[in-house]
Amino acid sequence: MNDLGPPDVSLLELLDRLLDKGVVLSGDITLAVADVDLVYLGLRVLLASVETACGPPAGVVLPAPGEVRG
Amino acid sequence: MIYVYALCDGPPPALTGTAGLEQQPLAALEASPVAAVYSRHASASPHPTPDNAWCHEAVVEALGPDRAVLPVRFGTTFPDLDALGAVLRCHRRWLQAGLDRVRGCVELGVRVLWTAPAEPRDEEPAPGAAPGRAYLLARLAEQRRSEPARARAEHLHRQLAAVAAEYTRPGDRGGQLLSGAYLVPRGAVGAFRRRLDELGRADPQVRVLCTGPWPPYHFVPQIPLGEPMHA
Repeated sequence: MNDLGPPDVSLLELLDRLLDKGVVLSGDITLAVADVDLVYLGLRVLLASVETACGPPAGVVLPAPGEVRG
Repeated sequence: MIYVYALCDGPPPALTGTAGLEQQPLAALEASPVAAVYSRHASASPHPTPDNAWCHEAVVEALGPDRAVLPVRFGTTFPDLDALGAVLRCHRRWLQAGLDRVRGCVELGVRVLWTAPAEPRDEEPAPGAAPGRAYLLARLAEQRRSEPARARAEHLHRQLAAVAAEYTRPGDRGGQLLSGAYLVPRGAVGAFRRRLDELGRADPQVRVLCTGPWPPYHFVPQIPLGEPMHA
């Protein structure tokens, strides 16, 4: 996540949409919450690279450092 | 297991040339007036790896610009076609209205980030100041310095909103001046990008990120799944 070029921006923007938007047709979306948190973590890392340090984004629960996989 | 990628206007397109997740062939279930594009899988729901995410996206995009398409959230599965068909029939009015809403449009994502100028020396906290107070003062100073850029981002948003059919601003996270998704008629994408470029070039204190065109992920109907299926 440290070397974020344009392809990674596209991937993060895609994941932000795929995992959080789109039509919900069933209650059976089997997606680990940790995976979704990682996406937001990635997005935050990306944005932090062009801004000054700031607090966690409002309304987003980030995993504790020990919980981050991959 | 049935994995669903997207819903579109029926009749469904020819789906040769594009494979689904795990290289499975694509098929379509018609439940007039809507069709669902899916693939069959033996095992549980796929993991959201980059490859799988791009595969899902490629299927949605392969449905082409000539029909209205509603992307389905990643990881949506049904035990069999009967279960999928029942949901499509039950919610067909919502789905049809959703398709009508996005017809002829694409989604463009815009983030405007503030690239803060270097901290002026005279804003350093006085010796002995409490750390919490120093932090809040620094944040306040930063907010003041970003105000002109913030106002310009709002101006940009109003210009973009005028070109778009619809927009949504799903919470400006972190230090973003603007985080928006815009539903733009295909013919207006060029004009939208030109306005965005103008602001990006004119202001060295902001960085503009524009992604897309995407399928209209932010502009799909919210299906009332809590209601009885036969309502």
